[in-house]
Amino acid sequence: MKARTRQRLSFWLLFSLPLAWTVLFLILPYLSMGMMSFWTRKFPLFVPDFQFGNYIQLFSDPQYSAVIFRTMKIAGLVTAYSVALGYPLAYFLVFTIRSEKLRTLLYMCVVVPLWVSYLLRAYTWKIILGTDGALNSALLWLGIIDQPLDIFLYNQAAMVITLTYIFIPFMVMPIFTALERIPSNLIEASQDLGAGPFETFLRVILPLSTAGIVAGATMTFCLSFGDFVAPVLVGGPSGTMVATVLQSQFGAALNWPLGSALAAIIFALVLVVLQVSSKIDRAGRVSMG
Amino acid sequence: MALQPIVTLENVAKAYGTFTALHNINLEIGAGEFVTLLGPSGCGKTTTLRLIGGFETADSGRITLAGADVTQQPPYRRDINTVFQDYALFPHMTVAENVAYGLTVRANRKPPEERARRVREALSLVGLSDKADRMPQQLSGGQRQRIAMARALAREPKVLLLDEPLSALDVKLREAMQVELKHLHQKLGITFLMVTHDQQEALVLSNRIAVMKGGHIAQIGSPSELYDRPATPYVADFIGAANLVPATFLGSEGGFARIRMPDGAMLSGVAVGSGEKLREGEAALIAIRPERLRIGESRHGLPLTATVVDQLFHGGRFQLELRFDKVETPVFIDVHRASVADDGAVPQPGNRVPLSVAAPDVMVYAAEAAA
Repeated sequence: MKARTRQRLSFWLLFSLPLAWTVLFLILPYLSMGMMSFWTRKFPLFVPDFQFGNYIQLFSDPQYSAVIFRTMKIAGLVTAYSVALGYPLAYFLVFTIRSEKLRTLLYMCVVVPLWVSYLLRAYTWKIILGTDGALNSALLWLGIIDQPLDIFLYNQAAMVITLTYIFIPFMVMPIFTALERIPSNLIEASQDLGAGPFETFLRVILPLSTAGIVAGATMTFCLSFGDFVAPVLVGGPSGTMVATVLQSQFGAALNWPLGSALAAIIFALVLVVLQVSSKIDRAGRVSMG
Repeated sequence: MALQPIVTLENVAKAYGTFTALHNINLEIGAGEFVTLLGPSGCGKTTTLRLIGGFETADSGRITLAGADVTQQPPYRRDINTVFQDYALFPHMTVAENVAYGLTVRANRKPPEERARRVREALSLVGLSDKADRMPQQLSGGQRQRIAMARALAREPKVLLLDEPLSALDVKLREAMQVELKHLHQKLGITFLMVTHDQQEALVLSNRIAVMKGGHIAQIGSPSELYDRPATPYVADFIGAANLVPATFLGSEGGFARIRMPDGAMLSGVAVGSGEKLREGEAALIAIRPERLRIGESRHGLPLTATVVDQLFHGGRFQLELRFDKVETPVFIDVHRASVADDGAVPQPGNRVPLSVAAPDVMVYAAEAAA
């Protein structure tokens, strides 16, 4: 065998497996989803077709756009709260805790919930916020209320709380890493040049941890955008999210073509989010070398 | 000291847990001086610098800057700037933004015109005016070093602290930067306080050197004082090269001593180096600089005899490793090629050679002071 041929053969051997994997599990499913979004439903069958009826229905029926906007709002709120709560925590872990052991321990406490079933963690909030839940019991015991309140559960606020709780580790982890990578002498240099702690934070620490915030925000946003457990458990009728609608199209509503079209729209939205975040990330990324 | 003191340390101590980094240090630095803290790692020199910079707080004692007590002041309230060891340039800012940083902080915001002028001046001072719009990552090590200097100097501080400023540079560049540092100090007239472990650098640059050891200042003085009159064998060994040989102290008169070498040779009129009182018959240590030892007999010098163990070729000179009789420690001397008729005239291993040294160039110390 000629060396050239052998080289080409080993090249294909090396790449055939990942290529097959990508085609089988990524490209084919997306293609079939994209194709099906143009099909027609003739109950109880789906007929191959090429028409935009599904998309027209999604864009013209305000019910669908309302759900998409609500989902974006909830995902946005979850992201905002995660940054607001996660950044100070990561900052505290990196800059305030002096003991390496304690820092590792506390960091593990942030990560450990990820080992617990996601469903269980969402369910926990149902128990906390429910009519006979921990929150109501506490308020009754304190004498603040006379009767259990049902305002805590089955609304958007409950969903935002639950999702923030579930996804906050994904925010803390990249910010923690970004903050840890900031050399301490940059902070000292800033103080040496006359900047107080707050100014140092705004002008040195925050800009150098942007990459962590962007990574965390992208993950929390995308994960909460596609979530369908929290809406079912704690969301109630006003908390329907796009994934719930999507799921019902493939289940109870039995309208796969419409579901595919909806999935295609979500897919496009997530792509936009990723594109934007990688733009911000690249602009904010600096080498610490 | 004739100079107005700008920085003073009074009984300053600092411990990290059980490790005492500094034992009651006293130091006075005059305005406009170039003082170097010299010593091996862990001697407390960096801790001293960080205490003056405000990055660490002293456990006890007092630090003053231009007459004001700054012991408890954070770094951003001290009129001092630091050139950090690995430069600590902000990676998300251009060179000009880095240099301007200290002029844009809330406590010291300068109008844009003044800021621009001072950035321009600082950059031209270090010869990097054309790099203003670069990012620090695009610069070489030597250039980053200069930007770090420019950034600190743009604030026009009373005192400039330099933490091993040249240690990350290669040898050639380091030597060039030494000259530049010295010129910069002369030109600006502000006080420089540098930390280094490189004795050559300290000798070349400083007005005064404080040699540190184990959290104490072993000796402080001008480079020539430290070199010619080291207070302890430790200082003698740390600054320059020193041949340390055990001997016996026989007595002293008017600052000059008599000693007996292990081979029985008597030397009189040698200098008493350390302050410790030596008793008659006590074990002592003598220190002789390699360049003070001459091969051959001399009418004025003290006569010594040694055996050549090895001959090392260094290009411009030969280094001879010698042993005095009954002495384990090697003694080194240099033979410059210009001083001999030809290379064959340099003593070979196995040769016994007569040596001579001027009596004041032999310094006697108490033996236990060695470390």
